[in-house]
Amino acid sequence: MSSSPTAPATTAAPPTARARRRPAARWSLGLILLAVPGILYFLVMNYAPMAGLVVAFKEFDVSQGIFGSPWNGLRNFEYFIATGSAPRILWNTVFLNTLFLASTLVVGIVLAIMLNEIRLSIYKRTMQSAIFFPYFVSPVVISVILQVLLAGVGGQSGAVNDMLSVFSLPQVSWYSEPGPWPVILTIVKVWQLGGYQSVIFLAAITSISEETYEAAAIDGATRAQMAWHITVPMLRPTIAILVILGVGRIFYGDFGTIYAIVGDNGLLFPTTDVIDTYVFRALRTLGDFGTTAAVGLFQSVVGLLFVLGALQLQRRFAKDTSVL
Amino acid sequence: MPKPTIAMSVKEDTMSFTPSRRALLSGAAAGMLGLAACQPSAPLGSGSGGEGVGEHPSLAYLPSTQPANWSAVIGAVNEKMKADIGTTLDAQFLNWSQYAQQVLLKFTAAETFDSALNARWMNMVQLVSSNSLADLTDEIGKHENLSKALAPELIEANKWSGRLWGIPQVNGAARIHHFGYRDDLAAGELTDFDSFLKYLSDVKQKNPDITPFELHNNVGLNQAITFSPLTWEDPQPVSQAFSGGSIGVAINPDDPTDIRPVYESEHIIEGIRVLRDLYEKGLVNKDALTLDSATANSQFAAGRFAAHGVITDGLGSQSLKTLQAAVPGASLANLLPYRDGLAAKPFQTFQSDNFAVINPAGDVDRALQIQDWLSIQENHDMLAYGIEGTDWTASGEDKYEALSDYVFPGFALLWRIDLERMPSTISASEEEIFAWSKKFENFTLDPLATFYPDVTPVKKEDAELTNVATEHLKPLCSGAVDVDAGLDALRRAAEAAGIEKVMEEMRTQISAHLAEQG
Repeated sequence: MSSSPTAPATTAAPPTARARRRPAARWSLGLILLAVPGILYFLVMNYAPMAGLVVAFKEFDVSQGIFGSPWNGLRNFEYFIATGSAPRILWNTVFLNTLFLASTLVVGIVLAIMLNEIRLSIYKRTMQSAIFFPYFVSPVVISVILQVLLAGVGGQSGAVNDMLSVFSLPQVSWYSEPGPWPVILTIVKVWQLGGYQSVIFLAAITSISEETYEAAAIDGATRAQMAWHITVPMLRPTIAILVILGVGRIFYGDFGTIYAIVGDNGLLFPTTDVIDTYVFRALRTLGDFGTTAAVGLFQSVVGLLFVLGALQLQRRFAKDTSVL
Repeated sequence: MPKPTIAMSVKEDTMSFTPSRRALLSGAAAGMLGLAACQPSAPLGSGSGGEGVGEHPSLAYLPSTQPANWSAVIGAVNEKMKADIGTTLDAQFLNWSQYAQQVLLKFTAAETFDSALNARWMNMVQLVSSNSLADLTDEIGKHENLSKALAPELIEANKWSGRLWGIPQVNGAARIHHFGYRDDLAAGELTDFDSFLKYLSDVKQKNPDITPFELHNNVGLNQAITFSPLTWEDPQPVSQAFSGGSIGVAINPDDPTDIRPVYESEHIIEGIRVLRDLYEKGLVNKDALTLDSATANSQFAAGRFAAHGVITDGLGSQSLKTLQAAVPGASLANLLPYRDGLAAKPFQTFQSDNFAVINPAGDVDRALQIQDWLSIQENHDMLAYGIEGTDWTASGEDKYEALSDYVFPGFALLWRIDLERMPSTISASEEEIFAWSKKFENFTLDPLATFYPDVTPVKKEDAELTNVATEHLKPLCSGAVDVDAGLDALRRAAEAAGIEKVMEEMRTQISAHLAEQG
């Protein structure tokens, strides 16, 4: 006959006053001191500047300052919403960001899986550095590279057109044709961010248990089947986080890249003009901080709604991988 | 209850300090205020009552890149300026491609600096309407050298509704856009518009590596007007717009209230058709919309273009030295192809293209003292042309020979008609045109000479029209789109942006101005 293990005496003892206070112990002075720099950072850099959002509802005048300028209701929002270009600009912003997000995620996953399959360490590290490098290339440099590739000196040739000529294909005036630019910009973003995303996924892949792969190998799975049936499903939480982060910024145009490449070339606006480039041009014309603050607020609020929407969808349809 | 401890331990017996959330937030807010108190407060106001002149250099924003030999020149300038008036100059150079927007933001953000270049074709209208510029109406007279260097007619022509918002930067009376070209590539003398178009075709045939005409991303109405045969046959008044870069109106010289959008002006439409033809024939570069002016100018000086647009400022031949280094034997000439030649008497407002404007958030007195100091020939020459004997030497009474690559953007800070010297490399044709442009009597006074529209009532529509101009008018003026389809798209976009309201406001303001003029 075996006796069942007895519970430790302490668990049966009535809770002491110290134990009752345990939840309050989260407010440790040490922890608070550790948190203070971070709290200060966010208060000063993120929350305090939010007071400036009142500019969105004011007729801002430098001489009167942010809080002294007169209120003007929602008039600053009218400039953007009432413009005939608003539907096109909103569409371009969402469409381009969706393309960028989807393509960089897919390419990042594929690159990570490919990198994970490389067994020779030095080769793996070299490849990792090589594909990560474009992340550090300035959009201005990318713009110059694109001009050399697509336009050449005087805008009449370029390496791509030279190649088309070799195959007797008609040349394209790339900087006059808006149609191909969503694809061109997506290629640029994939080149820029594919390597960066792959590092994130690679880090997630390394946390997948080797035993899972060994079990699959015993069952006769090929490397491709392991990638598809083990690696990709195990990356879903990481993908979910990146999607949430991306969706939160889906109403923010990629100003740095797009403006550096397209600039004020109005011929390309039909497919490349996004909220941020439009607002930048408005700001430099109007010099009106109220209008730009209004559009910035609009972008933030819509971004928040998108994040909340994406979270709800995740909770409803992918509960097991929902991040929040 | 145990005493609070500050030990950095996570042991439970030290976890006894339990401030409330409110206390924590209060502490953080206090910390934030403390940090804010540590920030140096930016000096605002004119500064004349606080810091004395000379305690800090006077910061001026200028376009283009820093001149060669700049540190030696500004060192010499500041040494003399410090000895004479007790202050120094700190000139910061901003690239032309971003200059207008950067300076606009610096003004509207109330950054503390003293002066900058601005103009109606940039954002001076917006800056005036937002009270971002110092009113100089009563200030010029207080400075002897400055007021002597600026003719009363010049001051009057450049007042906006009776107020002066900047120091006009001119070196002649009129500003006429025309052509500058490589004379060494011409088969003979170019005398009229047709011979110029033939010259462009000949260059293309004989020199396939050279693009005949250079356009860059500042392309706009000036190019359409310059390339319009009607302009040379029948010079029209300058069009009016609420702000630079927006879509303006064409004026009927016989009745200035009779206005129409510029894209309905025959002069401009004809110019656009010529530009389209040149584009299709490969006689202008196809990357105009992405080519910035600095790069375009350096490519011209490197011999990659045969001709470009110039203005009557006597500086068209300034690039000759660099050009000749790249293309030995190269020479330049200018062509002003009016049907009646220099007797054409085109319309002119005599309004300055550029102004040295002063920031009320900076030190207005100090900026004006420097302007006054620069109105003395010796001081002017030192900053404009560099150190005598090193950067330049006098050539005759009114010319200078450049000895170095020092080139200062004088039009942004110190142009004074009587103090300017011409480069010794100036071509005979340019010198003749420049001399002609200096005489007021060679021009017909524009019916709206002293008119400056106030954009405030149509600010949003004007901004939207600026977007329309960027998207539709610039491509048309670069020749990159089909003329009829492009004009249709431009018209539709302008109507959607509120061109009718803008025209109505312009008509009202013109009528009021004419009534005021009597």
